[in-house]
Amino acid sequence: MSGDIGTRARPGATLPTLRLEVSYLRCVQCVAATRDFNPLHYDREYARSAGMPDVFLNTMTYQGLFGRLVTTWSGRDSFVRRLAFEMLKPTIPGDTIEISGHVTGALTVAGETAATAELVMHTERAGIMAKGEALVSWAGGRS
Amino acid sequence: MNAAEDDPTTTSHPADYHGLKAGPFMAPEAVDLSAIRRFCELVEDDNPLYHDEVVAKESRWGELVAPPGSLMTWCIPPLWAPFTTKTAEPVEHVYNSDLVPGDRVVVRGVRTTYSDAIRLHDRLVQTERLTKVTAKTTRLGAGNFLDVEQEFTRADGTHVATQITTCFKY
Repeated sequence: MSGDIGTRARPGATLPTLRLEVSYLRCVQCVAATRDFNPLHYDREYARSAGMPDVFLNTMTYQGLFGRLVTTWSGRDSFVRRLAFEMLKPTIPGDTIEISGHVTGALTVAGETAATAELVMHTERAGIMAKGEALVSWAGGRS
Repeated sequence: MNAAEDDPTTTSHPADYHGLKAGPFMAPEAVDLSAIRRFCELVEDDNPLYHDEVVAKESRWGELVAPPGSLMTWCIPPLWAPFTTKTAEPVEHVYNSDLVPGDRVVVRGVRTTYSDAIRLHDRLVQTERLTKVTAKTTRLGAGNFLDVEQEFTRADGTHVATQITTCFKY
């Protein structure tokens, strides 16, 4: 990623929006990739019997997506020191996820330039699906 | 299932469950490129730090690393393994404990603080502790919100991350 850290870490700066299609295959893929064999993520009948609208992406997929959003913005010499999110609604087959974020603060952590960011996951079907936050720092001012 | 009504202790004395512990349990394998690739494939993450040795060597980490979001995947135990008796201990997560009623668990959120990157060939060890129980009725039914504090270290004891996972058991 190009651009200096000062610009990137300026409060109000936006993170590049990420989009991802959710299909039944992607839900099965999340089981395979993370080895999370909770049937809520691959068994549609079980998921509906548990009160869910369908199978849905698991927590580790959310972690991966929020992590991708942050590291794509922060670059190769960054350190994701904190990543947190709350899942409000399940993302199900047919959804298109859109994740965006913006910088909320600039600070110094362990001698490194750092920034905090607010993150949000959205779908056209159900609005805001998850909200999160991140703390990232950069070593030696390099990008 | 209406856990709160079936078991009055759920609502009357949720603090009884505090401090319930599990682990340490060791990842069945070290962090490896094929597992990193499958995780990146899932979320379509093409960050070269996860697959390009040249780029990774020039980064702050000096070597290939795994995505931070992959943290929990490494310590999930195999469903079957011939080497279980040699390298792995049975895993019984605290949220699966019979002490907390219910047979379904959904995660509400996670808060992860990292001390270091997850590095190629790390073999992670996980411990966990139940720190908070709150009885509540949601659209899924009556149950308990659980806060589970999870610590991830390497086999040599160096710290990698602390995570608070909040889940709803019902």
